Amino acid sequence: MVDFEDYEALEHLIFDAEIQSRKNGHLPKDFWLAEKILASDKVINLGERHRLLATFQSPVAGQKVALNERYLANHLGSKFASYEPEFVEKWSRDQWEAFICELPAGGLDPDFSKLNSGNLTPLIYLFEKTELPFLTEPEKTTVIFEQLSSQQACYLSAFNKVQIPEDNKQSDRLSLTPSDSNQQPQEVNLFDYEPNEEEHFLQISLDEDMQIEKSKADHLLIIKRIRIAMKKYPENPYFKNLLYAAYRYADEAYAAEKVAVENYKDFPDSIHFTLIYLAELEAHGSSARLKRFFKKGYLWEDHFGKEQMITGKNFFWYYQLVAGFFALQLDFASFWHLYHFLTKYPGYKQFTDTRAWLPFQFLIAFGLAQKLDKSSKHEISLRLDKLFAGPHKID
Amino acid sequence: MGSKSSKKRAKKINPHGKLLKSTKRQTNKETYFESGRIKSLAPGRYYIGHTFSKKEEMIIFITITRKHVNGNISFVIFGIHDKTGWIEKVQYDFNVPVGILMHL
Repeated sequence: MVDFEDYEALEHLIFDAEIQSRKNGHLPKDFWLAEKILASDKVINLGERHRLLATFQSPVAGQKVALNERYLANHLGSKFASYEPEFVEKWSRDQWEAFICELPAGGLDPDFSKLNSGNLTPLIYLFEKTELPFLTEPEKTTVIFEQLSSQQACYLSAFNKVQIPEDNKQSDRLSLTPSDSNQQPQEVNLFDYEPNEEEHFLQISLDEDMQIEKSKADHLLIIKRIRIAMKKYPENPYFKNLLYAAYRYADEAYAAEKVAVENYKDFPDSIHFTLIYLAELEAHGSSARLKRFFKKGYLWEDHFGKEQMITGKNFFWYYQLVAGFFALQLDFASFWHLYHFLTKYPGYKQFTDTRAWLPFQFLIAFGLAQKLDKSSKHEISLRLDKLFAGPHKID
Repeated sequence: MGSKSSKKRAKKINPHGKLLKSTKRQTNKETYFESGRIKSLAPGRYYIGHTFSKKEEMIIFITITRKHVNGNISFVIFGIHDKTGWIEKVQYDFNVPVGILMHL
């Protein structure tokens, strides 16, 4: 046993282990001691990469996920166990209890790929008991964002498992295809803009230099070069995108946010800038601004025509957008419309993992629809039946 | 609440104060951690080590300590499976000499 000075890395290891153990129902009864002795019981660095000490750890810190699951287990855990024959009328008590035993201690498993139609009824039940109260009380909007952020950490962790060729790692133009090792990432254009040869080489040069440079001073120098290029080619959106990335590299969060807002205003039709803008709003916890954004509405379909839309991280952010939109608007009709549109999208089927996220979100919609409009229940059941065509059928 | 009820229970079993030392100590250390008083102690050192199970799987041991004013420590040890990430073991004690860690 040796003295170890990186306390944060050790605490993260414990948090990561807590998530794994909870997921597998393998948490020792004395684990409550962790809450008492660990120094960082407040969220400090969500999503920041941390030093990995064990083989099982993911590069994304799981502290916030662990704290969220701990909260669920402590405050809502007991509600999962109750059997209500009126709701689960097709289930016997034994079946229900067997199902509960299979559920992880913290509630729903973040690995949504395990979902099947046989689990729908109890999952909706769980949703109604746990998440719905938050969704239907406007003053608890911040809680929704907390939950979304927590989910985001899980998804980002999944994305980090995707194999990205080393030489392409820096490019935001990659098409990351989760869990599909046979498919090579494909280059897609971010913007509808055709740069001339000089612009093109300048873009590549700036992009590459940005990846290589390490010090902040070097990054500030690159920012100057980008600004000069922007003056020369004011119509070129790639330089604006590079400027945002350069500020991020230089660790100038405020300036990066400012650029993200400007880019979004200058190119309101660009899905890439919109997503970056949303990511910034979310990162800064600007729930009021996010709310305003969602309330304004968005011409979703306009962007689905473009091939680059549903690829890798863009898909992820778009998913966040849909989830956020639904959570804030509580508008089932528009959510269903979007959901239908997403599932019909030609490139949709190749995303094995992401396909599982949407049914989960749909479960929320389904649960809510039951509350809002009981008449639509039958129609939704039929659609669900088609969606989850398999050995299990929904009654 | 928890500490009071456990004391009452202890009194019922042993009305003449003939509690075994180890049982009493177990109760004390549990109530001490439960009360949250441990957080008021200064953070001590963190240790890491590993051992191998019978199946030759690596178990990482993390020891987190807090310092008492008398120089003793309170600690919790987490045994974590290197590959599965499952927490296999949790061991703890309070107000013991630092040297005790060498014998665990």
